[in-house]
Amino acid sequence: MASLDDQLLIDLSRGGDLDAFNALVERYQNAVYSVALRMCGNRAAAEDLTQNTFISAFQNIVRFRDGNFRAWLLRIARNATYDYLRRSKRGRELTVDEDVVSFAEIVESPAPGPEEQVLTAELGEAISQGLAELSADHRLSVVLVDIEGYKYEEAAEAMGVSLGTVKSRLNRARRQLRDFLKARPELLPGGMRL
Amino acid sequence: MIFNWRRLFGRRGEPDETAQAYIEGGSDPALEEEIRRLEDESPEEARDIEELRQTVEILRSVEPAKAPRSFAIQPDMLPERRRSPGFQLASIPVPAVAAAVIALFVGVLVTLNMTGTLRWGGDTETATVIQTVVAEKAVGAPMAEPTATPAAAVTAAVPVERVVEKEVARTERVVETVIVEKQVLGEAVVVVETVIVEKPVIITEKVVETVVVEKQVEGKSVVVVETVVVEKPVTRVETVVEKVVETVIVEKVVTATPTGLVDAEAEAAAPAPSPTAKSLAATTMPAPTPTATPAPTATATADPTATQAPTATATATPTTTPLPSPTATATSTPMPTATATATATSTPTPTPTATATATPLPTPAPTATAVPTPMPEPTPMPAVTDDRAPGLAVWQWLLLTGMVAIMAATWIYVRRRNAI
Repeated sequence: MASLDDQLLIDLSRGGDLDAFNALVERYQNAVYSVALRMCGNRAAAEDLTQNTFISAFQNIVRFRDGNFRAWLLRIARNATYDYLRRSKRGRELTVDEDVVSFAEIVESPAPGPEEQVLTAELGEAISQGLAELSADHRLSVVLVDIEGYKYEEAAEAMGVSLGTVKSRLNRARRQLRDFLKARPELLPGGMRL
Repeated sequence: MIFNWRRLFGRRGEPDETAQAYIEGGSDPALEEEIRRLEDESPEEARDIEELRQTVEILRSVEPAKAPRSFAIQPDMLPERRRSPGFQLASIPVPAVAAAVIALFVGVLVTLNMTGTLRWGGDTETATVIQTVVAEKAVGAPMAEPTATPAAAVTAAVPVERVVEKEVARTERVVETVIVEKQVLGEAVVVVETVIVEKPVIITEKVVETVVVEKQVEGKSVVVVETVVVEKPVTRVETVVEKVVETVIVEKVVTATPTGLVDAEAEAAAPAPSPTAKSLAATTMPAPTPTATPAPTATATADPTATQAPTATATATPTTTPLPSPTATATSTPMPTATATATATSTPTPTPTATATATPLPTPAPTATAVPTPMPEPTPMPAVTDDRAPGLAVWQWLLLTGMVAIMAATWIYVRRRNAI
């Protein structure tokens, strides 16, 4: 089942084949979870959002027409995340609790040494705070393009906006992040001064 | 490659494709060389691009997160009953549904209009509607079963289509300039506003008045009563007569025949249709009783010194002029116009006597719109034209607004469902 291509699995899922859909889940769960985690900054919430995204996708897979399945999933995740942010009124701020993820955990560690780990933790914290300063739309554009590395077209499809809108939001978000990091040079590792 | 820094930031300060590629880590050696060569020309913009490039580089150092567990769906995670894919809201062609709803609404309006249920409320009809039946004819079958079953004739409810002349009030819209004092930012401001008000039509009519005049006739003073016509502006509701086709249910005597029920009245009146045949129970208004007082008053005073008998003529008019009876009761008596002449005669005798004789006219003159209207039968139904400004009643507005709201809500709901 895992070796079948997406379209075949989607067709099987439309017929109610849960195993086929779970193969798709295994294929895309990292992408969905990663975006949800960056957007809400909370592990438990990100897990719930990811699970709900796949359940909603399975229930509505008959509506999926030809296109990018991953972008379709990310769009469902985006809607779920926006609803979550609205409900919790946390669109521009991330509360600190034990579930809040530290970006230090997800920043690439160039070296395993203790000094490098400290630097990585500092950088992760800086990015985390900078993203929290952005609006949900701007944050999503940065997460999709700069952190997750999606192409503009796929990001536009996932965000439900035009290509130009993605570029515009991305440019503004980068500038905001740049200004944020410049204003807090102490958060950046020594070799990464802006 | 000629590299223009100004060109790098186009509208709204967004970098162009070339700068974008550099910011995102483009590794074109020619591009990097150009950037280094032109850094001296625009050091600020070059630094801006470089900072953005570093920001993106920092962001890209973030490692994608991995799912901490499997998010595979278990059957018990799904709701009790998964929706059948047979009917999906998203499959509804919303524009077609909207068009169908609009067509239905228009159809309802047209139907209501044709049946007369729809009222056009653009004009005001405030006064009592006075109507005169011009023609009528029975339409359709009797509405109710006969109430009695004698051998020949029975009474049944019969729908009758009739043309009536209605007298409705006419108003006119007048543009007026008013001075209003308003509170603007806490200060009283006098504003001149132009408003449109609906007012009854002001007309001018001639009024007959009786006056007592003292005249000199051959050196003698004679008091005579004269009738003069004075033109006075009168504010009252002017009416216009409209012909309207309406259907009413009347109780009629019908004759039972093998083929059905026949209008006995119509049969009886077939050779010579009589106007009195129209005095049916379906009158919409009771006929007002004429209250004119035909008794004329004439006063003549003769001067004993007069050598020639003066002649004075007095005309008395009734104080009230009842509206002509518009009902179908053709038997109502036309109101006589109380016209009387008074003749005063004086003779030069020592004991002058004055004789005043009031003689009502023997033939009562009906007023202009008196009741006895000819009732031609059968009469082709004239087309009803309504040139008043159309407007919708409150319930129609509510219906329209409700339907639009339902359509909008459906559209939004479907859009949200499609977006999941």
